[in-house]
Amino acid sequence: MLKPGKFVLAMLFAALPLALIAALVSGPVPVDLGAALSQGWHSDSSDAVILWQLRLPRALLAILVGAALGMGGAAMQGMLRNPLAEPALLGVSSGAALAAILLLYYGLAWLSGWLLPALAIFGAFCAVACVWMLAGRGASASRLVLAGVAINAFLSALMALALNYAPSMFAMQEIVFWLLGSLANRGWDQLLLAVPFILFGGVLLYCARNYLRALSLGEDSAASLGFRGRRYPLMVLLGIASAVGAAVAVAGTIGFVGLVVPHLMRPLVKQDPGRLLWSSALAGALLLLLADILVINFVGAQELRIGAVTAFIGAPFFFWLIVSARRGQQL
Amino acid sequence: MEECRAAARQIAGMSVSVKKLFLLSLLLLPLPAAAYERIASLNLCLDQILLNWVAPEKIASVTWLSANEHYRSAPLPEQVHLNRGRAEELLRLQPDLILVGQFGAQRAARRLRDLGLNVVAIPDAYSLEQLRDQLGALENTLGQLQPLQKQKQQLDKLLAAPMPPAQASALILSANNITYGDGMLEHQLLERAGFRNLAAKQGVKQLGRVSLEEVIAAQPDLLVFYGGEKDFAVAHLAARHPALKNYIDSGRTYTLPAELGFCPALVAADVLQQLTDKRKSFVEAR
Amino acid sequence: MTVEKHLEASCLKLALERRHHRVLTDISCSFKPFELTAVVGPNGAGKSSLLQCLAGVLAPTVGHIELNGEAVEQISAAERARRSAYLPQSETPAWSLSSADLVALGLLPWGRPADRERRVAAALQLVDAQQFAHRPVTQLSGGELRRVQLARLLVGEAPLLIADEPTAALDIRHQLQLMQNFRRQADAGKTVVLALHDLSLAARYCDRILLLHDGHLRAQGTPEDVFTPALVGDVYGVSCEFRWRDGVADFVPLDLL
Repeated sequence: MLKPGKFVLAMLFAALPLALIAALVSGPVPVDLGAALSQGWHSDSSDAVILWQLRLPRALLAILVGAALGMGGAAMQGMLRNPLAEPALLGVSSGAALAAILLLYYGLAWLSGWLLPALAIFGAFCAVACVWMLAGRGASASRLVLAGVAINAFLSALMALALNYAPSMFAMQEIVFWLLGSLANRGWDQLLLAVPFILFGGVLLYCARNYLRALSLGEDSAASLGFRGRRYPLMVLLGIASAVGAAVAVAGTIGFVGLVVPHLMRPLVKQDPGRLLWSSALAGALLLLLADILVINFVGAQELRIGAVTAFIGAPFFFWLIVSARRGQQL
Repeated sequence: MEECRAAARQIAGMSVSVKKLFLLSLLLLPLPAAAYERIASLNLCLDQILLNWVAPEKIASVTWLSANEHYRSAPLPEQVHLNRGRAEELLRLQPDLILVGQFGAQRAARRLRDLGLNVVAIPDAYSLEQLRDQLGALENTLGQLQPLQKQKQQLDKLLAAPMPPAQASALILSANNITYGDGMLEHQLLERAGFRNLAAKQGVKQLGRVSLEEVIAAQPDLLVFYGGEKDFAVAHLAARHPALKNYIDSGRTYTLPAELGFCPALVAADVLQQLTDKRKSFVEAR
Repeated sequence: MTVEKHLEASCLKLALERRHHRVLTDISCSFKPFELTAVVGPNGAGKSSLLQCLAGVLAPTVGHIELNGEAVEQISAAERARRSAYLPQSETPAWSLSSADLVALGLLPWGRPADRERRVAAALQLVDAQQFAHRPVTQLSGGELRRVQLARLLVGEAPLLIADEPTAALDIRHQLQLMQNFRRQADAGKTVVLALHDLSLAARYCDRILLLHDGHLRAQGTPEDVFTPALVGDVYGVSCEFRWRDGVADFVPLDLL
């Protein structure tokens, strides 16, 4: 017999391929999926191009970005010992977005290879390091959130400023894109750009899972359990920056996934911050893929930004948190 | 994008007639309405017409938007004042002709007219017919400018030719996945060049959205982009998608110049010619 | 694993500065196997800092710590964690893990041993906490949580056990149980170092006393040597007396000095 937590996790795991199929059949144009599959990768028929060049990379990007955000959120909450931490809330996403904006609009072209994600990761790392230093070691929830809000607001303002002066006719709209994120018109090029960095970040975070476990006892106890020095926090920060920064560089800042998903997953893994990492990655991937299916099917080419959809899902979750806290449950 | 174009069409300019041209026209043609020496414009499109077609020393003022290289193809003369569409700025410059568009800066235009200045409204052009009217109005005001004449004759000739049968299909993919349907100048140009605009066929009136999937599924012979993509913008991502690589590699694309969006008078004739050539090459290739 | 069963820890001329403030000055002492040592002293004397240096949470500004004659700088962090276990003065769990899962965290330096569950159950039994093994730690009372944390300290095989005021928040029954537990650990060959406020408990169960005052090591030795009214009265600023009966001391504070 599976325990309820494991059962739900197994269900999530099984749901992912189903959601992927749902994503592949969703779109404004009806496509004969079987024919497109059998025609294969290199076919020039429009069905095959739509499947292989448009829908598949977009769906895989949703999975990848969702996994990065979910895992980044879980790692952030684990490292800061705070269930309110989130990559976007603490400025990671806006740091990455600001760096990407500076590069894209003032610097080199879109396909400038590794430079874009690398710079976005650098921006994310700087932002989260700023928050971390501003809040101080072992900071309380309120101080952390305060520092995060301050850094985040400042970076968002810089983003708007940078886009305002960018040599582009679409400044306002571009700001909306970077603040709410989008997966529209993405292809293999963006996916391949993000994959290595997200995988690298994921591996770093996975290697730090025992540190995150030890940290649930506090920094002193974690140090006495052998997780001493700057190595481990730097590893986690770099992992978060790498995964989330690369995701932001190709999809903009998509909020709430990193906050909501670890919350939902924590009871399923018996609050273990180590197992929370991969289960949050799984659930984040599923959540973002479902959100994108919603975007494609119900909003169509108008492209309601995916960040708005995740916020739609995230906000009721907070209502639920408040209600359950008022009923006297643990947050 | 649309805001920019609207703004572009709204600011009006002024007129000049070069001395040489004036003498020439004395010999060849009826007298121009006047030989203006200090022309001002309150409209972005009229700015561009002045800068491109009129001698620089005769331009007194253009709008501040024309300082932006994004809109300007001709050099900006040094003495030109950049106005923000306020009556008092222009009053001080004492222009002998003020060009305004159909929309925008209307309050300033009325005030200047009340003060006894020579304000001429030039109609905007959203279709080929309106474009001809616009060029006629410009001719009446500015006189027989050579480039203007040339543009007008070229356009007249192309319009006088019988409408060619649609021999190939085309689809416009502009920034933000916008496409142009029935009732747009861009649509008229495609049809005149012998293309079937697939967006109009699918019932798009004026502007519509088209996803990349729909572009691929529609399989147009010619994929038409809109210009102004020198700089990065997420809005242009669709046009850079690898799924369109086939079109780019096989030369089945055409890029409309950005000017077509805010001042078609400058480029419409050339665009029509190029599109016609493109269509002919497709037909020959078959 | 190359962990010695017995471990002698030595502090050589230890000094510690934190935020330009001298916390410890010139402390030399050693802790031996089979010995239960209590570090006592008034608030702010440096007890916690000394324990943190010993556990590897803080690095001393000056001086060395040696484990079995080997400088700690030569030992990897993981290896050091296998040699010493530490329970800080206050440890608030961030997530509401179950008690058993929290205790299992004490085994982290040993990876995932096969007999994990048995060891955790045994450690919980040791502190009389097996009945709430599956309760979330956030639902435990202060004393219950403390016992679970002690089980976390005892679950591993570290030969050096360090606990900072482990008896705080415990009722008298569990205070005695806890001290007996540490006594048994020491008798079994472990090196046990506790920071204590209760001088009676210290006198009754400990082999050696370290008396700290203002970051200085004021005295060390057997309880009989250290717990004299003159010394304790001077350090704590109280008049007091110790009533010894069969090796058990009652400490009675009388008045402020």
